[in-house]
Amino acid sequence: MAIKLSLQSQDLKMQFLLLKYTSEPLSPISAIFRSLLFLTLCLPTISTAQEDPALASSKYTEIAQNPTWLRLTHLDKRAFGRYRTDIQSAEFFLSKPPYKVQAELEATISAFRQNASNDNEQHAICRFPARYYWLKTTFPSALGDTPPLSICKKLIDWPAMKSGSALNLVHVSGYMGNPGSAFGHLLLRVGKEDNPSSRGLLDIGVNFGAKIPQGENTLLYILKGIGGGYNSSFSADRHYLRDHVYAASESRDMWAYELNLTEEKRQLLLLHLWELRDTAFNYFFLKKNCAWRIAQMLELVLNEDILPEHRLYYMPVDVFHAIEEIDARRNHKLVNRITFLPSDKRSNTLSFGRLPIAAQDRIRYLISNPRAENLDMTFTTPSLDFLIDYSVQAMAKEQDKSTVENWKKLRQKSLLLRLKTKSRQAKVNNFQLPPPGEGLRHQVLKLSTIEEESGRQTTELSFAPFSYELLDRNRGSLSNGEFRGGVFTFSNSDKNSRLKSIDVLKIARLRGMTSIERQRLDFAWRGGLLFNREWRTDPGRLRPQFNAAIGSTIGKGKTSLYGLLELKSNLQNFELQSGVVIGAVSLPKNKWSLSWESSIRWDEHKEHSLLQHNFSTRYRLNRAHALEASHTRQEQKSWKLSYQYRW
Amino acid sequence: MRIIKSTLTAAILVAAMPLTSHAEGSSREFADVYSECGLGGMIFSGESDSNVILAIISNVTWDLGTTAHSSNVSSAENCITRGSTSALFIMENLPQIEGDIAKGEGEHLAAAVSSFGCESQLQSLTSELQIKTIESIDTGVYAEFTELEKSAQIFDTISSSCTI
Repeated sequence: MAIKLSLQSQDLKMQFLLLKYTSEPLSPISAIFRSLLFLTLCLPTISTAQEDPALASSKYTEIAQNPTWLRLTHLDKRAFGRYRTDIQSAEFFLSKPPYKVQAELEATISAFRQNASNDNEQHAICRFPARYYWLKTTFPSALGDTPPLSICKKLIDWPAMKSGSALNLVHVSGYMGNPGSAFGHLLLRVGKEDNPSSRGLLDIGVNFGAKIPQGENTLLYILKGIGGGYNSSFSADRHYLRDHVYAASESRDMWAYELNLTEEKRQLLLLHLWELRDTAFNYFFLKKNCAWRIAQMLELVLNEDILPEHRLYYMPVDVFHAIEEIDARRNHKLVNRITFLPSDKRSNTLSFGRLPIAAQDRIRYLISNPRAENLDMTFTTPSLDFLIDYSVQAMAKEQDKSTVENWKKLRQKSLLLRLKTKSRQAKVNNFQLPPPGEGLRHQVLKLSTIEEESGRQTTELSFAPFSYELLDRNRGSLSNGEFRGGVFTFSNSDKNSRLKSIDVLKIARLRGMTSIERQRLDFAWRGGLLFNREWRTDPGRLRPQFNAAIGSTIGKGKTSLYGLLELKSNLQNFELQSGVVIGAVSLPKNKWSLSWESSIRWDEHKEHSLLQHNFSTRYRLNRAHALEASHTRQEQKSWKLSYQYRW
Repeated sequence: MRIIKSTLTAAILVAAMPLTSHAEGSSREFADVYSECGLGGMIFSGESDSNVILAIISNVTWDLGTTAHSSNVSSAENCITRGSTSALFIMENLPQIEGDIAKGEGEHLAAAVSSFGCESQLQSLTSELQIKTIESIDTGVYAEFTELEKSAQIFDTISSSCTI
């Protein structure tokens, strides 16, 4: 039974400190302890007036070196007693640069002890409520006589502090329309525990992102994004606005991870977000990004390091992998539940797929001829429900004004017909995409053995610091695509070992989603920059190559077909090859995937053509191990068997 | 043209409904919230892209009242506690709420009702909204309604029928 201690004092407005215990039943002793804790925070002058405010230097040192203090001040310890920070706003610090943890602690405590004035919002307690909260609860004697947190009216009135106790980490799937979103996005959602909407539409969304000027040039955007050319900060807004952008405009699926935090930890996190609200950070797309900053929030409340110090990149999915590791280590579930939140496009596609074929055909006709007179009473309730939802999507993407008007009339009639049926359709909502944390890790070590028709055997070892492959279920990151970077492959054949290839970058989008509109094709493309030894006119030498291909893809159930026109270039002597590629990718089972590709390529003089077929299949044993088999037919046949280890 | 039409409609709507003083948000009418909070200035000011709305709501959620002076909101603190959240939510999610009313259920409708604190009356309010919409459609006025008027009908129906 949940115990709810809630002091209904509107004058004090201290709801956020009233410790609404909602987890486990409390023993009488714990309840008394927590009540005392509350009293300490509410009436600090009573409990601390008898403490000696002059702290011994050793006490300052002890507090300043506490990991939580380091995290609250965003100061990282470096060699020779130096500290560095990613924070750009001098206002975040109360001491003078070069910033040091102990000087910052002394300045903070001194500022906390200042008397409240008319403009309480500028008081250090209101500017740094998380520091205050932590010091007050962990080292109460350190503060001495200070004003209470109740002087901070704006903080107390912040809806996030009032809205209840549910905190969700929301993972937004990858989006190829923006390079900065290719690997997904991570944000926090603060809302009620008994939320009427699984999407948290009334929640507050806390987002971390770079401040990009409008109309920024794409190349500049990429370069500045990678090179730290943008400032970034946290922002808070009504979550439904973001939900609309992601689910409707960008067709991105989401997963909400409801965090299992104690009330004290939740308060600390929210208070820290409050004190970071006007704070500018350095932004680096590959590492110091949304995932990094939100992981820092988790580090603060979990009191352990989860961020990798020596890695070139950090992605949203890494946060979920870290949570799993913590869960396993602590034997404590950090996540209460994971909810899959499909995009509008996916919801519509699923609803459409559940309709009988005859109904699908009639709807397809309506979609291509959106006129109200084509809709009549014979349309069933599920068909009308589909049309009502689909019409929103159709009107949003339609450019032609007369077609939009037609859609409006059609929608109006759908609404009327549906209202008059007065039936409530049983909701079918059993579709779930597995959450991103369940996907494969992206650092790969691969050992392969290859047997050629001629009898020659080769062993290969490759290492990829980052690899999302087409055969992976990417679980929310880079959906329908492939991204590999810095892949080194070594081969050993006939006792000769050598570097076979370096894939600097390979990127592709070849999988499509099942489309409602008949014959609707998605854009497909791939490209890469690599060094390898396979070039027809001069085999054996490691040379730079570039390839690019564009075409179309169409999805049908768990299978996607694609066709591409491809151009390859040997960058050493600028010889060109052009070709036509067709292929398919299928992910029929959770652990099993397969692909096929055939191509024909010609050199620039069209003197030689090269026909190639490849068939690959992969079986995932678990998140770390997978087996792969492939058969290639080029000038001769070859078979390859591989084992992958991922971490 | 559409913006002018919306602004005119809003002006007529506000003028037609005299402002009344209500104690609590749930009993306020859309016109009150609309005029007091300057929602028309926000949504139909001519800068109708979502960034304008987002910026205003960000002000409301982070700072609640202090930075709102620069964004046409007469008193965000007053508004946030007295119905502007519900009004904005309905205006911003109108197509989805409209669809949910027709279907008799849905996340957006549930959230709209919840924003008034009337979760427990979701079913009866849904029926009430369905009846009002059918009436408007049958009398032919619904097709002529602007988005603002549709929002007002939903807001006022929930506001007047919710007994919390």
